[in-house]
Amino acid sequence: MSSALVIKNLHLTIDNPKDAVPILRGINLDLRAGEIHGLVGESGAGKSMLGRVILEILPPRAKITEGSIDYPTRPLPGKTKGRSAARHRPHISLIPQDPMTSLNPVKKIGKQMSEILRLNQTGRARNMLDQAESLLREVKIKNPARVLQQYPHQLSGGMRQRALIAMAFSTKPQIIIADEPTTALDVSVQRQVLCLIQDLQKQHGTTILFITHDLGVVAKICNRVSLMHSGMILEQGNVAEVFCTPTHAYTRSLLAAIPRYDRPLRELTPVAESLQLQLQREARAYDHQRRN
Amino acid sequence: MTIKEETEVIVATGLSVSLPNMAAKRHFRAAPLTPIFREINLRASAGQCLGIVGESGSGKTTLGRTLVRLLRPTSGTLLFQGRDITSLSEPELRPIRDRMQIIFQEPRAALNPRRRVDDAVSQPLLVYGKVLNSREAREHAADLLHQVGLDPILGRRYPRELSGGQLQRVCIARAISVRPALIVADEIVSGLDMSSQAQVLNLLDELRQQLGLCLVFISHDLSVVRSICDQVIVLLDGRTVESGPVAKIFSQPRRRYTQSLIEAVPLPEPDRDWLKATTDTTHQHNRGKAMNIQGSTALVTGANRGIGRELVNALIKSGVKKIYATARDVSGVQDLAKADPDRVHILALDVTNDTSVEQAAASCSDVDILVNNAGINRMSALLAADSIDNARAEMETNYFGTLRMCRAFAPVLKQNGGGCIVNMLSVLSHVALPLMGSLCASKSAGLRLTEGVRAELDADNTLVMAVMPGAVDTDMSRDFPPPKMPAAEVANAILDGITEGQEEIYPGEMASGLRAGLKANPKGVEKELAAYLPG
Repeated sequence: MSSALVIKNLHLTIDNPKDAVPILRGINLDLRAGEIHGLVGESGAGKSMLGRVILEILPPRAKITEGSIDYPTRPLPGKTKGRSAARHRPHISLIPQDPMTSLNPVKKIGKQMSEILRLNQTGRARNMLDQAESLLREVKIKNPARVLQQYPHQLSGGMRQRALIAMAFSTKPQIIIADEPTTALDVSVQRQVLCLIQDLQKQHGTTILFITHDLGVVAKICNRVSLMHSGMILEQGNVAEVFCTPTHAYTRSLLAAIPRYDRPLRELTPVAESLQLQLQREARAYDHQRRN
Repeated sequence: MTIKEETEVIVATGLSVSLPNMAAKRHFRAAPLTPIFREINLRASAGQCLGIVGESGSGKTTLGRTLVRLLRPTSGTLLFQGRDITSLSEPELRPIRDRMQIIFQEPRAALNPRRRVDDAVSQPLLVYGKVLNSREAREHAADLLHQVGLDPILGRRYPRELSGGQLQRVCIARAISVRPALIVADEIVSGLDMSSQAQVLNLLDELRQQLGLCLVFISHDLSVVRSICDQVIVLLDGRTVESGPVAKIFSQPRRRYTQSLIEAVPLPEPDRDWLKATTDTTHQHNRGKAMNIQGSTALVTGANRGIGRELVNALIKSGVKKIYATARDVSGVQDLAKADPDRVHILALDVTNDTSVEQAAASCSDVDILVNNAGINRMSALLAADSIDNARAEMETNYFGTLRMCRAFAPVLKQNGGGCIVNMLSVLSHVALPLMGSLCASKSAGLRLTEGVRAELDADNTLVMAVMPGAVDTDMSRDFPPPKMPAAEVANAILDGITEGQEEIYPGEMASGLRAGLKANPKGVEKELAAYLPG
């Protein structure tokens, strides 16, 4: 299977006035074309930072110190109207976590959608709105013409997330980074949104990097999964293998921390303090080794 | 009684809240009131955890805020530690405010970003005068942070320097600082990763046992609720869909809505088909009333033959827990009981007899699906008949029999938390046929009866369904020419209707076609029907 994105031995640090703090430590990731790849970890594991590396929207002080990111199938930058070609990446897009803060509150949905379309093609504004309407229909919004004329606050959380998914798919990207796309939604809406993402992904053959902390979601939607801690990937493999026969202690303890309604009641077991410390120690040892 | 009242920390009876609809305000002088939740009953004691679940927009957050009187109830009563706090004013509430606390979903938004953690934690102590000065307060803060499993050193940090899980513990520390009796926790773990979630849940459970807290836990994640709560209330559109002990709700959800909430929780088991089974029921009318047949208890009248008999079989196949197969003459139902003696219970019941119906309601107190199937057809015209005896007999069984059953069983259903009443009518409820005028009249009366009962039972969360098939292949319509619908198909259509929460169903092509035709051209349909019927 061909690769959509290959990351090799990626190291990233954040420069502080005093020292450089390592955030990502030797990440190897091979996104295969047309797969949904889960990226799981606790908060602070560096999973969002990895997403930002791929999106090329790093914070100013973050610096890639080593490693490479290749897009074997990346198209040549096309002609764009009045924008810098370097900043223009129609082949890759983002489904963000919080649908409320990711939309501009003072612009109507239709306007925000056509802005993205206009970046990628020439045409009349009216055409853009028509396109936006059909995109909204594709994400199963019941009354697209009306939604185009509404402001984000007039929509429910699920509807806002659908609109953002439509925007992410509007440039026909090869890769989508979905950064916790369903964390802000309730379980029934989450299920519908996941279903929608999967349908669109199959239809367009898009590769998705699905960043989440919910192993349940990964089990239902992803083909492969990578588990991160302290900026390192601890375990990687097919979802079925990782969930049924986890090799790393961290994976096992993360799976044990999940409350389950289908099993007899027992006390929840968070990841043990000792394991957390051990992983941090290993990360520091890794840094030390690299310095010498 | 007095002891019970003391341990019961919060009791809400018929609690409702309406808020002004600001979107509609510009059309009116004053903003019209929109009900957010209605007629909620709940009670929770010290050391107990009550879960409130529902999808977004179901009113669970507003309910949580009302329980700690951040909002004033529009109607109903709210008792806190035995005291009526329904309409206390803010100054009157102040002395008891420290005994009720709320923790919010977003800890970053709930903490002042410019205030150090220990100041935030000890602020309530100063406000309620539990300590004299800020130095003493800070010492308390260190203890509290220790109690929630945080290093007291973190007390000198600012919220932005802590992780989400740590911040949520800070919020918990702040809530328990004043030793409250009641804590409302509103979605406090939904923003946390799995490991922090487990830590916070364990902490909450520990504190509940240590301090004898009464905990109201609001969440949309049923797995989390199951791991921490004793009792659960399921909300939809501001109404209680079902409530009960957590084990019962999970092992045997009575409503489809509850089941869909449970099934929507993704378990960490690889399953590519899980998403395929997704159905969007958000816009489905009446989905709070849709029943889960599996595990329910049904009563079917006229179960000895025809549709009633098929319905008993279909209900058994769908996993009903218990079924009362009733008939005037029970000899025709004996074989049903023999086939499945554990589940099928035989009962002699004459719907035309008051005493018989009352006795049935008293002895079948666990019914939640009532099927009024018993009915007769004397094939009698209105004017051409010799007397009005046939018309009277039909009315007595078809109309008064159903009414008697509804009246007797409505309190039973209410006691069981709402349920379902199915009234067996006919598409003849909508048409008048020359040679069966009295039957049509009784069926038509039955339809209006069904609608009236539905209106009266609306608040009880009971589904009231009218079943209106065309000609069915039973003894009753043996003189009818084909096409006739097999009785088993009608039975299956009824079960589908119950699980979908339908209020009117027209099983079969004949009935659905007639229904459509009646809407377009009622007189033409009547003419056609008259030609179809025997005689």
